Amino acid sequence: MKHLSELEQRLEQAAHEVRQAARHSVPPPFEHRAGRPTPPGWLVFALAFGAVVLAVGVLPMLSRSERPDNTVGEPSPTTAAVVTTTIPATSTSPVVSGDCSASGLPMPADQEGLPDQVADTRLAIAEAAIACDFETLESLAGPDLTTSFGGGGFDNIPRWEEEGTYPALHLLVELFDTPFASQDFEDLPRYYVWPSAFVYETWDEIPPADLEALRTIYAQEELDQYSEFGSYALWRIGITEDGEWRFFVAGD
Amino acid sequence: MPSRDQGTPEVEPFEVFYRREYTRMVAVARALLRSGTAAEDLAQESFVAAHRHWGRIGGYDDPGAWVRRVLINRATSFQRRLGAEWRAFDRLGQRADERTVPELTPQATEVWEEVRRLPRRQAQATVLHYVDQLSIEEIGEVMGCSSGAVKSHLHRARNRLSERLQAWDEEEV
Repeated sequence: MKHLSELEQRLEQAAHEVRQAARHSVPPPFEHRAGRPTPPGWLVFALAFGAVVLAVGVLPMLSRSERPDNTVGEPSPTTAAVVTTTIPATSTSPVVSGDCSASGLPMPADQEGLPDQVADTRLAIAEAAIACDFETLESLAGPDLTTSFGGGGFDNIPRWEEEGTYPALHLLVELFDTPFASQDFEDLPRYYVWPSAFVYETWDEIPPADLEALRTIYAQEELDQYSEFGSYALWRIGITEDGEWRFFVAGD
Repeated sequence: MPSRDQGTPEVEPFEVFYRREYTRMVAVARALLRSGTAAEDLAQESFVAAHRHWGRIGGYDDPGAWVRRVLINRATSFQRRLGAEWRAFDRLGQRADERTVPELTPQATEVWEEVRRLPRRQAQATVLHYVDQLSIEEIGEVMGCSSGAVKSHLHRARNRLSERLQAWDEEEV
């Protein structure tokens, strides 16, 4: 294509076709279901196969490679932790404004080894958290985002902030500045997890540098408790390899 | 927390917002996904997300930008989830959905296939610009980046598309 104007024409024409085709789509009514929207067709399928899919889907945020109480049928990671990053010595830009637990925090530095989509989501979440921008943050949440406790969704995050239960936004930013790890599960996309400490089966396996990174977030007593417990079960964030923010949870 | 509700803004009824924006969202989704039915489902899922908290989201300065952001952020993982479900249906010998959605011409299909092969941010900017006909500033609002970044995404996208579509044309000749 020699001229960009020709490209422009093709794009305009293709866009026109897409808009025309979309006019054939009739919006399904929301009002006929007591105010609840009509579930998309694929959701019907998802419900039919829900039990299995859900059981598999929540595993990465709940378990390490081999929990003692693994049940038959639970997938185990095909690869254990693969930790590649080091803690950035310096952070990048200073912060913006806002009034929340993340106000004034620096943006986490770039981390090497992340797929572009994961890196984009990580930085977008951190940026929104620092700006105390719940609107953007919610739009970045995956449809199945799980937050502690008891399988809550995004709503826990503003609630924790407003009630002062947990400094959720602060944690999001700080955790993203720790080393990450990736985990593979059968039939699931790869997960990227912050901090890397979570994917180690025992506390003793966590590399010293990765433990050091946790000291900027947690008091020594907290870390000692989990050292005695045997593994890291504090806050962690998970993003799938295609950039879906999937969990922000704590606890065993 | 500055970005939460400030006061009690006038909230447009969800139904009005939904009916006004629906086909535009389907068009954006259609350009980002391969399947027309998947596009409808993704658009609906994005509206479901907004509907769930409409009292709050409806009070935002631009609820449409919020729904677009949800839609473009979810497009990639949606494609993957849907692919897995359809593969499961294929194994069962049936399809989940018999809806008929108008096919695009081969020329348009070719263009959107190339757009989907662009880096994600470039593809998003291209679709929001050409399909949704948003201004540079509006695209920046949806994508959460500056106008300069949007222009850069579009510039790179055009250069790359120009090369790729030319290659297609030469192959056809």
